[in-house]
Formats: sequence, structure tokens, C-alpha cells
Amino acid sequence: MLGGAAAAAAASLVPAGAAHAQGTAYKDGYNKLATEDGTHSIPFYGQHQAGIATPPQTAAAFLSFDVTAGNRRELTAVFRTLTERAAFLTKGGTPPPPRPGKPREQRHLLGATVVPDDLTVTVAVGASLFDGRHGLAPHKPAQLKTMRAFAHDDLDPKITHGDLLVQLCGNHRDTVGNAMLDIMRQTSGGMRLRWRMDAFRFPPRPVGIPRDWMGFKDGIANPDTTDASQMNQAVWVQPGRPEPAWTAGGTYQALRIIQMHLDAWDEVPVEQQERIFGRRKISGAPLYATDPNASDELDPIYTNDPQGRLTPLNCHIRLANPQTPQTAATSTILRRSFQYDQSPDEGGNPNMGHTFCCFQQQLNIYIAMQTRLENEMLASYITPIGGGYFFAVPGVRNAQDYYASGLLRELRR
Amino acid sequence: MMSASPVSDKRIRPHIPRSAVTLCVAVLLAPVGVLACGGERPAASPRIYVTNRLDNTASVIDGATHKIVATVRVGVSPAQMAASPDRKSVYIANTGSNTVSVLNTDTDTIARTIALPPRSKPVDVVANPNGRYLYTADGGSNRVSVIDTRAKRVVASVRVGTQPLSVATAPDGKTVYAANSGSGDVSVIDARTNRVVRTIPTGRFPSGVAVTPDGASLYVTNELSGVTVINAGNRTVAARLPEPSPFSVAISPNGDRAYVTSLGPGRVTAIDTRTHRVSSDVSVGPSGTDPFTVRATDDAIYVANQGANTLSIIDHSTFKATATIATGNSPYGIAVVQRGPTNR
Repeated sequence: MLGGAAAAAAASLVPAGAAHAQGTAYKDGYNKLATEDGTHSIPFYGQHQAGIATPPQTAAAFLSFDVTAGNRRELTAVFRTLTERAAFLTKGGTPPPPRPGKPREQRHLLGATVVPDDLTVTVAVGASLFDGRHGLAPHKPAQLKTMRAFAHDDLDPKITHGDLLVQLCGNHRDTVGNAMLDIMRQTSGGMRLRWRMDAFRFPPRPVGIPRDWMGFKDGIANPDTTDASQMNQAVWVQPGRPEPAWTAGGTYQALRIIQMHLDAWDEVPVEQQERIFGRRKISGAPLYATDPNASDELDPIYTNDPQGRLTPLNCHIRLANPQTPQTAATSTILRRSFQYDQSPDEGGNPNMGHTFCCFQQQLNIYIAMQTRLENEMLASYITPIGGGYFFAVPGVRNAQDYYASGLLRELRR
Repeated sequence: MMSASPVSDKRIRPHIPRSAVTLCVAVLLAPVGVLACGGERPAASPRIYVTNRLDNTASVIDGATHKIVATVRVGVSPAQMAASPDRKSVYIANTGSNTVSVLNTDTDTIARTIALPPRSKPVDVVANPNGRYLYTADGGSNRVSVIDTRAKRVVASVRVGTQPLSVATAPDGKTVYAANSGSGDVSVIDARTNRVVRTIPTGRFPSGVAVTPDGASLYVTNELSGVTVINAGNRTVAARLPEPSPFSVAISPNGDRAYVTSLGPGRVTAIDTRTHRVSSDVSVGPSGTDPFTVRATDDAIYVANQGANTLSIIDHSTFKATATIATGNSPYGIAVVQRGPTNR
């Protein structure tokens, strides 16, 4: 009965949910429609997976798995189970009867019924899945590769790479945690957790894009996620060569776990911090805006500043997008990042930082951008320590479809 | 006179009686084929040239129909532009390729490319009143290059302040002003000797400079500290206006108004040049529109909106936008060439 009531409540919110998922500009940078009771949900089925164009929720977990399924049939079972769990968890309701051979859900972490709480489950595949094991190699997304260390990276193998990345986002820690435990339990026969990064997103202080641990508003420059043509141009893989047909509607995902050296950062005067980022600290606006209440949506403009006298040439945002004709094709990605906070590292330093996550139609665009950033002033204050490159598969179209179905069908031919 | 629209100077531009213009328009609207009107040119409507910085092109817009009639490939990262007083050429400063393109306005093709020294990164270009010399603001090398338009090469190089972004000539052509964003001042150059004779501190990050038609005042937009009005005679500051992020300035051809674009709020402000007070303002779009460059002719005020990829046309008398035209990617510079009869 309670489940029915919750489902009805969720159903009554569907129009708002649709507006939420599609009508809210990402520029807000914050999931404003989150409800405390968790009855709000984000549609699961569609051409694209949720959790990409969806305004970022406050709680996230990135789960990297090694796939242990030995053949195509087992691999298909893994994706089918993942799909079934994601479809249920994101919609919520009374746990369905267990599948044959699967344990009954009796965790009750969320009470008698599972609340959707704007949960999104986003599944992406790593280059290592396309090795000889399942015969997937000929069908690998054209630009997918194993992440190689950039100049200042200090990658820890314990939090780097993976066959499969499951990104879980929701409005509260418990719904994300419940989804994580559920998925791990239900797929335990076919994949094993390799590493996990819990992350979160701060509320806006006081308005606009949330800040990171360094106190700066982060992830401001994004395509408009409500504009289909921008998304088709910058984020979603379009049909056609050289990409294999099954990838259309998917997108490349780059995840970078970046430790911030906050002790050193706090020693830097704010004026210099602003020059390192290329933005005002309080307002998040470009450096030409002197008003502390200036909007963080103002465009940075460097075209009148060839020497970088106002916005330094090697500041973060100018290297990410120098706004020159030569770099125009390698300057647009969709940022959807979070913060993390873990136990101190071996040196006793705070291990706090940025779980940088971005989506783009071409992985090479991210790599070109990050290569430019090897020379940024910020490099002394951060160390990328993990992450990986993945391909977020196209959306699950309907109840008969499942994650990566197009890829797995290729194997049957 | 205006920093990059010498054609709008009344003493250079031959006067076309308003009634004649109206007549031409009326004739053109008539269902008749080709009709010459007041000379060998078929129409008196202006041609508007806009550089598209991220496309490496210039759009040619018909001022009457507001249609793009040609797209011309120019140098890399084309920035500001200027028309020659005889209207036969439009000069384009190419920041990325360290060149000035000479566009033939009869054919709308690039007739010549003039090289500047490496790393010059020219941002602005202006022609002197008789059209013999061009001055470029070389933001990369802290210099103003002097180009002889007959010899078609650089004939002098003037060391100015840091990162000059804008140049303007006095109506008599004897003085050239360069706004130096990095050093926060304006260099006053004697055009006969090509030497800096004075440096006037103006504010933080001066990005634009324009001279009134009587040569008496300079208007300087300081991106970080408002608008400064300078008395050109004794070279002292006459007024300061607290406009937010002012970026570009142009003076109306009759000298009554200074038009200033403000990056943040996306608006154009009209300043009364007698009282130094804001007389009106007009929004050209939401934040992110980025009105970048303003130029004024007898006909209208033109604003290139870099963020919105549009050109706004604003009416002098009503101070309202009368048209918004889609341009290429990241429009930057504007030159307006009045077509039609010329006595040159």
C-alpha cells in the first residue's frame, strides 16, 4: 500500500520531472528541484542515459568494476541485470520478487519502499573491456583508450581504469549507497568492484555555480544541456564513421580524481589565486568584472588581451579554452564534476579534491584540452591521482532494451 | 573623429541630401530592374563589414536588406577594421597572423596582405584622414606600426605603452592616440615625427579610445575602472564615469554623443559629450551577449555582439535597436562603407 502511494506520488510528479530533466539549464549547476522525501524521479528510458544532461545531484559514487563474466552470454546477463536494477532503483517502489537464483532485497535502507530520489545510473565501458575476452575488440569506440598519465599526474593504480564504470548520482547519500549495494550484490557473479570514489556537490554559496574546495566556482563553461543541437554537436556521438554504429547516442566520459594541495593553496593571496584560475573568487565572473555581485555567467573574453595582461595566458580557464580559431574545435566539453574528501595520504596531507567528470563527443577533445593544461599555473597546487577514460553507452530505449544491447548484438552476428 | 570609421567623418564624407537618399530607396523599391542612382553605384545603402574572429572571415552585410552578401576569408583571428576615406578599401587587423588585409570594396575580395613584424598581434587599425597612413595597435609587441598605403608596407614603428589595444587619429591627422591596456595610459603620438610626445594615465585596462570630431576630447574606456574623458588640449582628465566593464567607444558623427559598450550587462550607453552625463542606454541582450565593438555613422550605431554572434543596429534618435543580424562566429570588428556617389 505504501509502495503504491509512493509510486502514485512519484507519478504525479512526472511532468515536473520531465521539465527538471530537460528544461533546467545546467548553468544552474545545482539540482534545485530535489525533494526531501525523495519521491521525485528522473526518467530512465531514452535515447541517451540520464546522469549526463541531468543537472548534477548532490551525492555521487563512481564505481569501477572488473568484469569477470567469461563469455558473451554471461556478459549479456551482467548488462541485463544492471539494466533491470537501474530501471527499478531510478523509478522506486516496492522491491519486485527476486529473479531466479538472486537473493531477495531485504536491506530496507530506504524503509519499506525504495524512493527514487532523482537517482541516475550511468553505465560506461572502459577500453580494457574490448580486449580478447569477449571478442569485443572490433567494436571498440574509435577514440576509446586507456588513460595515459599527463605531465603532472601521479596515477595510483588502485583508483585508476576499469572495465566498467557505474556512475550513481542522487539527492542523498542513502539512496546512492543503497543503489551501490544493490547493484554490487545483484551483479556479483559477473563483475567485481575494482575501486570506488564517493563524491558530492556543494550547494551554491551564495548563488550560481557551486564552489570547489579551493573556494572557486567550478565547471561554469558548459554547453547548454537543454539545447539539443549543442548537445548533438558537443556531447552525443552521432551515427556515422569512424564510430561503430552501436555507439550513436552515447558519449565519451573522462573521470579524473584530482587531489588539491589546500595547505599550499591557502598561502596564495586571493588576487594571485584569481589570476591562476582566471576568474574572480567571490563572484566567479571573468576578471573584467570588478563587482563582487557580478554574474558567473558572464563570458570570459580574451580577444582584446593578446599578452594576457588581464587574463593570464597560462591561467586555468584561458588554457582550457583560449578562444582562438586554432583551439575552437578542442574547447567544448560538458563538465559534471564533484568534490571528494578522504583519509589523509601517506604524508599526512589532507586528501581532499575534485572528482572531475566530463562528457564529450570526442575523447580527443578532452585529451587536447588537458594537454594544454599541462602548462597551467594551477598545476603546482593539484595532483591528478586516478580516474580513467570510458564510453557511456547509449540510453536504454524501453523495458525490452538493455545497456550496450547494440554492442552485444554485434557479437551474435 | 572616430577610431575606426573615418568614412563617417562629415568633412571627408560627401554630403548626401536626405531627400536624395529617400528618392533612391523609393526608386529601388519600384518594380523596375537595374536603376543607377546618383552615380555609377546602383544604391546608396551602406555596406557593413564585420570580422568573425573564430571563422577567420569577414561578413559583408547589405545595410538595406540586412542580408550577408559575401563572406571573405581573411587572416587568422581578424580583429578591428577600418575603411579608407575614399571607401575603396577596408583594412583588417589580423591578430593571429600578424598582418593587415586590404579588402577591395568594389569586389569584396582581399586585394593585398601587408605583413607586420612577428608577434605584433595587431588588434586595431585606423586610417588617417587623408588615407595615406594606417596605424595599428600591436597588442603583442607594445608598438604602433605605421603603414604607408601607397608603399603598402610598414614605414615606422612607434614604441608605446604595454599592450596597446586601440588607436585613433585626431581629425587633423597630426596626432595619433593609442590606448595601452597593460600600462593603463594613452600614448600621444606626433604623426609627423612618429614619436610619443606625451603619456596620459587614464585608468585600469584602457581598451578603447575615440576622438570627438572637433578634436577637443578623447573618450577612453577602461575595462576595469570606467570611462575617462580627456581634454585633448591640455591633456588632463576632464571627467570620469563609473560605467561597468566598458569596452569600446565611438563618437556620433555630429559629436553630440559618445557611445560605450559594457560587456557585463550587455548594453550600450550614450554619454552626452557636453555634460559628460549618461543620457540613455539600450540593452542589446542578456549577459553573455558581449557587445564588443561599437561604431557610429550618420545612419546608425552598429554593435558587434561577440557572445551572441550578432550585429545590432541602433537608431541614433530613438536609441533603440532596429535590427539584429546574425553574423559568423565571434564577431569583432566593424567597418561601415557608405556606397553611392563619391566626389573623390
